[in-house]
Amino acid sequence: MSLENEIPKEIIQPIKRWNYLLFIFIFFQIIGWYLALYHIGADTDQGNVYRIIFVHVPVAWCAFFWVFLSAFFAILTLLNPQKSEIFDRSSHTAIELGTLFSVLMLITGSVWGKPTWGVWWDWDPRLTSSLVMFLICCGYLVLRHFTPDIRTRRNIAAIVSILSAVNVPIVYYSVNLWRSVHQPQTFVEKAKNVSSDISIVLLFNFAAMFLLSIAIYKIRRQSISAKETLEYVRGEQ
Amino acid sequence: MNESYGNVGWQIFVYASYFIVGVSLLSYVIMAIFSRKKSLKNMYEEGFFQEKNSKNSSAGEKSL
Repeated sequence: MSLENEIPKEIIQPIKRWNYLLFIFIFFQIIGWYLALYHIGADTDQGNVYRIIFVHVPVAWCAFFWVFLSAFFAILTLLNPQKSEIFDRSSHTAIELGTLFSVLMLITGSVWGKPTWGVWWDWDPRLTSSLVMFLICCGYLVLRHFTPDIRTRRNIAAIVSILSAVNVPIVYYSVNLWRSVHQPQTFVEKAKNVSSDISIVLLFNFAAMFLLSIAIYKIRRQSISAKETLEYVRGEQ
Repeated sequence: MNESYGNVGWQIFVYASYFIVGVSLLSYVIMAIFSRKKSLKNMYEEGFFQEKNSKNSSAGEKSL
């Protein structure tokens, strides 16, 4: 007998819905990457290596968004103790995604740095502040794992989540605040740096990556919720 | 354009970036799906859904 038939509809329906949506959003992302790799022309300055922008920038924006969203849920966790269980799960899931996208941002940025700057890493303000954001997110996950008391864990995790979000504007504006080898923000300098066809493909890739990240968030949120509910029923929490 | 960086072409940098992102996201989502499936299976085996159906238990959230 299939497990699906035994699980109540109110639980199985959202699971199925997000599984289907995940495949649709993966398809959008494949189209976006096809456009980025094979459709659009090379850049006059950087040649073909600039194509990393179509994965690096969407990943960075997703990292900023999920870290911010985690802090938003963290604030709700602290303000609304009755629903803190639900907001805490959302905050935890969002920061996990923020951590994943942060490390991908650092890796893709490093891979782009080698052919353009000649080095894999530089202690530049943008890179260093991005690394700090990633380390704070890792700190959140470690603290959460090693704090057994549920109420303490929620409160400490919420505070660390808010701290990690404070770092997001520092990362974003670091190229303006300090001397940096990193290029300025892509769309602030739009008129000078980015042609309209690059902008369209970049925005399409961002939309695809963002939708994909929402599907991944929902699936991971369901996973965390199922795990914590089980622990609650077993009396492990 | 046939630009090269040292002994390697641009392809190694560009395709590696896309590959790393694709594989990481895919691994993460597969891990989430398996974890969710395992928890649901354990919940079923421990009678959580039967209890939920009969008592309309308030433990946990109504939907995941």
